[in-house]
Amino acid sequence: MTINKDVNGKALTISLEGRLDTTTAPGLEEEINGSLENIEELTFDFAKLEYISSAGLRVLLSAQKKMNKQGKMVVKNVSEEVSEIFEVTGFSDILTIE
Amino acid sequence: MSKDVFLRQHKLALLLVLWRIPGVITSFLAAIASNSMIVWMEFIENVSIVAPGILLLIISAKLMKNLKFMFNYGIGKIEAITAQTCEIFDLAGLGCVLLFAVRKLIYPGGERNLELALIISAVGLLIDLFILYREKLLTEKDHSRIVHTAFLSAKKEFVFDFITIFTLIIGIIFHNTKWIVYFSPIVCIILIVPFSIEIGHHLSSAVQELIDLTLDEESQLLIIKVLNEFYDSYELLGDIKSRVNGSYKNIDISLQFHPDMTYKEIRDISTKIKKRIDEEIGKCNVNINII
Repeated sequence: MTINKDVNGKALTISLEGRLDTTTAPGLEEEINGSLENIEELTFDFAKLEYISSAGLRVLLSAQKKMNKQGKMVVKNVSEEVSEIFEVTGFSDILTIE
Repeated sequence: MSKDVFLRQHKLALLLVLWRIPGVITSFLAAIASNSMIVWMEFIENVSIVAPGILLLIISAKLMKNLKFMFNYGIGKIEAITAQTCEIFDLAGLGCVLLFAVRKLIYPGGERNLELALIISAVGLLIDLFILYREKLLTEKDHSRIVHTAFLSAKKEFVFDFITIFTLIIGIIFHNTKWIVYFSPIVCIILIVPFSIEIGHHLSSAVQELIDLTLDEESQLLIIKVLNEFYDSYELLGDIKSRVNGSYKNIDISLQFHPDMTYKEIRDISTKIKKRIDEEIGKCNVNINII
């Protein structure tokens, strides 16, 4: 999986390409933890995300909890497959999806 | 599991290998010089400690680089793999010694250079004493299982060296008697029995540890779903770790709660989360760790 980060002032956009699973989730978590300082708006661009597993969902949930304290988090360009997983696991209720 | 833990393991394994190599060399020289069964057995015992040490060195280096293993492989798995290799090597070595010992009982042959073997073994004993002391210090500083295992190995090796030296002294004192040719093989066979039983226990526990699996993806999604149901009840989500052994399922969830919450509120929420996970994935043991 490829992780692209774009910081613009207090806004951070993370674009993911490939599969967010057990293998790649720890790398994303590390990236997020190292980049959230002074960030008030976190955006995930899932346009090229092919798959998300429970390990990836845990990282998203953890990021959402952190951003609740310091700003907001938005997920955009969610594919049909990923959207279905969000529905089943109740993520559609807690995430701001655009 | 942080990279620091693997780095520490890597350093400890390197220390273990470096400390053990002199013991392997001295016991090998002593075995070659004496052709004594008990000294060969000690050499095999030494190698059985160095071999898994090298394996641990390689595995911990790999784990520091490879995230795939880093995410789901805990310290228990590494120790289990190392222990399994160690015990299989020990069993194979003891099997060889048993065969040689039985052969020597059938075709008894004289042992030579026992004095030289005794001197070299005494040097080995000094090295073992030094290792035992250093590993005891490490155990006081670090309470990880791997350090404890290394300390136990050092103790075992020290006791074994003592028995070897005792056997060699008996061999030197009674070298003119007829029965002495049978002494070393018989001591070997007697020692093989308790060692094999102990190895059997360790091997069985290592296998149990290795057959532990992570919960299937569907169940893990259900755990995430339940955590979302209680989204407003906790502040932060930490690790979610799970393992399955036969029909036994164990799930560890790390959660941070709001500092204003009372103990009773946290306990009630934890109980509800456990109950819901139980309803979703069936009978399981859920531990909520507060971070």
